[in-house]
Amino acid sequence: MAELCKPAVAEIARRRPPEMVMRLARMGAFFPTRLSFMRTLIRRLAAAKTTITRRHWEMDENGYGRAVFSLKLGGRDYTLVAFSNALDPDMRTDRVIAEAWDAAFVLFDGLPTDADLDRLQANAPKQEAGRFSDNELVLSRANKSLRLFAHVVDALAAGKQPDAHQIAQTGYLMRTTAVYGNGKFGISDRSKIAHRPELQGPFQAEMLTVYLIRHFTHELVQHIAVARNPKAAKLSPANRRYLGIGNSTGLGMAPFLVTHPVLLNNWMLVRETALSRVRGLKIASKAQQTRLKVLATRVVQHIAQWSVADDAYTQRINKLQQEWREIAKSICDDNIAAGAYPFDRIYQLGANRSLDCQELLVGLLLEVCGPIIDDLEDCMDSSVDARLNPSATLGMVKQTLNTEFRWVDGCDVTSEKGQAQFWYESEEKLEPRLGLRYEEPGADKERPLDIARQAVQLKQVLADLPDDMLVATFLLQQPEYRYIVRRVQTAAWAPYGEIQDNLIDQDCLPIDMLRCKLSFFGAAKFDPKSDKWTRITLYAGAPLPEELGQNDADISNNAQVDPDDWWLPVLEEA
Amino acid sequence: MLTGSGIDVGAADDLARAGALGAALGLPVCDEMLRGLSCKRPEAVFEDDRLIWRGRVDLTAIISSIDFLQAGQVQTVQANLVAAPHMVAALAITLAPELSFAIVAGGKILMTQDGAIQDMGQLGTEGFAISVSAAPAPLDRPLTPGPIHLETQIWDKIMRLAAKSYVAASEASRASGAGAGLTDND
Repeated sequence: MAELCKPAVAEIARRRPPEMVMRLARMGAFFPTRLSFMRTLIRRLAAAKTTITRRHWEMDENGYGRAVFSLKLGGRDYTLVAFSNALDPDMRTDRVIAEAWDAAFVLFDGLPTDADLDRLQANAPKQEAGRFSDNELVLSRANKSLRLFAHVVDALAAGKQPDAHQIAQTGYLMRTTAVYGNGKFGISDRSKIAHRPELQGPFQAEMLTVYLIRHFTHELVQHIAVARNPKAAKLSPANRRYLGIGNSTGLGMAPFLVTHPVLLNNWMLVRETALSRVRGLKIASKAQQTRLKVLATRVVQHIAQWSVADDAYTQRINKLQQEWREIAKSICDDNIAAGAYPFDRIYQLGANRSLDCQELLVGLLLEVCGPIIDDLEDCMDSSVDARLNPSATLGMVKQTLNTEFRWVDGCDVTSEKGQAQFWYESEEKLEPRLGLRYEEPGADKERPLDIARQAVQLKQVLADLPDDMLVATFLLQQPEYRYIVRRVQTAAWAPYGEIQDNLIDQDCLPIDMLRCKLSFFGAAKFDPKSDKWTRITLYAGAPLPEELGQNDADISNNAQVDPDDWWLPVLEEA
Repeated sequence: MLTGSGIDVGAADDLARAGALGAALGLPVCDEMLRGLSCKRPEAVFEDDRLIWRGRVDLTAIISSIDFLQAGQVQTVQANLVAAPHMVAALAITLAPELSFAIVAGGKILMTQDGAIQDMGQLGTEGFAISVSAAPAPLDRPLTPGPIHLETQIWDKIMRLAAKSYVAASEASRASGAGAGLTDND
């Protein structure tokens, strides 16, 4: 671990403890921060003054055909290959069981030849059913937001800008329904790119793909509008900037947080260390005070533009809206940032307010203090896995169970309610699913996401065994505990690696896991469609490709858009 | 909790990591893993600083062997028959990268931690021993990335084992298992 990844003693002391942070309800209230992966990528692209080149554009008047965009990063070429086709509305589903989409994408490693393009054209639209090579780094597909896509095309073709309210309401022209990386369906393993400096950090290739897809959608609506009317209006930079990419995410993403405890630990540790650093600042500079006011006001508008159909989430958003108006007043009118330890005092404004409000405050505080926390983004990756230490004694395992794993003591893992659900792998789509243990078949093939239950069982078994017995000896006799012993031992050095809730309880809400992970991606505008599935928007407010290559002087003089200022954006014309 | 192969998930995780590493190193580990699954766990006997397996050593026994070597409880593991000799190397590197060891058969050193992995196909009949050196040395072995090519026959067997852990779709799971609606036009 690099030196900068080892927090100072004071930072550790001030850090929020895992038993507070690693609860599902709180994780399900996370917002994106400046340390989210999309933000990291855009800073990298801007620092490199990256330019994106449209190499091929073979589209008919309806916007069906193929397109190729490439960029150079770290001395290497990366290329988005996009295919767009007609789709019967009856076949338009966000679910992974779909077999056709409005568009399909590949992030190609290098510059594809014509033969590569033909090969990809034959395979990318088939997605899972296609055949791929290790030149393909990411595979994705997307469906149009029918109403907004059509509205934007109609408006531009009519020579005017689309309606701001409709843009704010949806926020994207297409939404991806899957973004596959790391060897899925025969594409390249992550090991091929893991050591490339330009893609250091989690999910950078995937984030790059989505950024390029967003650019493609902007070009596509413009193309169709011009095909209809050569004098069509140009989609304004403000509208383009606000239009991100939608994403529809279901259960497939949820188990990742459980199956990657060290990675989860690192993400959380960075977030909490960053917050700790900021809260420890004795004063806020004039520039920071001004920035706090600007952002607090922007957040009021952002929340006002966040509307969802789900009743419970609407209530949460309404409550947050009311709470944030009070927060903004404290920051803007009462000038709370002018006193000592201003960031800690602002953080404390969240006390007795909702978890949504508390975690939004975290995002605000981190946003204002980039220079003192941005180095932490280099610590979010992980080169080590959870590891078993067979030379440890059972006494040491019991000790960790009683400290880092003491949260399981409060879990009901024996009643029907406490085991009401089970995680499994679907035969039909090879994706994780959640079933009802007492109503559906398949519990005999349960996947090991029942961490709380396994830890309780381990604790019971170890209670009768001597403290000086070695883990190696115990596992020779009872190998079925290898998985949970390894997790417990890992928690001793990765304390933020476990979600501290019973994930098979009747009340477990997978959407909280989804929101947590998606917030680390940088997603906003969470729009749940059930407790297992949510829509989100990615890259809303992000700089446009032509804004990545600006010079720093123009940005600091406000002559140009700051490519790092798009946390919780608002539509300027709305 | 078992995988489709009948192995506990904890051991299966180790085998998956070691198998990928072994395959990337060009070792015939996939075929070995399938063979190593099918035998019973042998009896373990401890004599002085040795762990001796009575019977054919399966994959889980190899994992236990490395556990004991890593824990410093034994210096040598002995067996007459090993179902997956190359997996011994792959597992040792994966689970105990800090361990210096030698794999010996018939008095001949077939592999050391920092040496090339040789053909160990004869291990099954000639006898087998794995021992640790007195001075463990860390190893920084780069893992060669890239696609792993498998024989169709092996791939089919792996797929059949994996399929044993899948749950077939039902009307209930199709309707709500993923939590999403069936069509989405917005």
